[in-house]
Amino acid sequence: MIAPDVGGWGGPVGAILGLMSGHSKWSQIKRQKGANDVKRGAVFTKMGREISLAARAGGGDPDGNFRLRLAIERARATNMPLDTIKRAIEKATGGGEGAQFEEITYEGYGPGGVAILVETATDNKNRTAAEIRSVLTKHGGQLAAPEASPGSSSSAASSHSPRAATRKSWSSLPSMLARTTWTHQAIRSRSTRSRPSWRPCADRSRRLV
Amino acid sequence: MKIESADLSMIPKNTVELDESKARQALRLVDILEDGEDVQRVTANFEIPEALLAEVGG
Repeated sequence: MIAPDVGGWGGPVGAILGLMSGHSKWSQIKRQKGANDVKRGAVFTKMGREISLAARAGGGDPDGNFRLRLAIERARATNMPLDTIKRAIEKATGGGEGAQFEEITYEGYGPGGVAILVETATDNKNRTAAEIRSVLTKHGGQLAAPEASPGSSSSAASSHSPRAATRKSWSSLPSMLARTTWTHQAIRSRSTRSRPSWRPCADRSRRLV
Repeated sequence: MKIESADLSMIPKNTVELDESKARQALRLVDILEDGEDVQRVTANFEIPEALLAEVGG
């Protein structure tokens, strides 16, 4: 007669026991593992987006796409599974529907007037812009200029080309930031104002497709 | 010869030097920006004293 009762209480008792095991080693490991998994997941997400963008811009073959090769190498260095990498490439080159990521570079200032470039890959420009603006203002900085925010480049919404998005944001460089000239180590372009300095590279990778 | 890393990155042509407290603030800001979900890379043109960098990094 007791047995059915116990049976009936099996679930709740189990749950209570579960709560009571709060000091067990496993629950500590579990908690830690959870935090690590979240971090690992975030890293993989970033790597995956870079891989997708690279594959879409220059094709899915790492031998003919320098940016993709770099992205894969970096992803492998973080122990990202090959399967996940492959899926990211296939998703980008397969032409299938999915989240369309766009590359946007935000410009801002930090403490002491330091110029900051934030390169993002986003499927929601409004969210990203708000996020970055709030982080900057909370930590003694500010987003560079209204015309550099996604509001102005939303007309390019149909374009998934990172070149287009980047050129847009470069051409709208606020004057103060324009005085800080940036250049690519590999290319050494002087004309940062009118065209993105890495444009020759992007063209090259497109030819290889 | 083994290649350890290869990268295409933005390097500033002019930099801003920061004192210790500003440098800490700036490093923190960059860290937090990098933690953002959509952020791929953060580049800044600050110059930070080696000693502080070693202390923060270590």
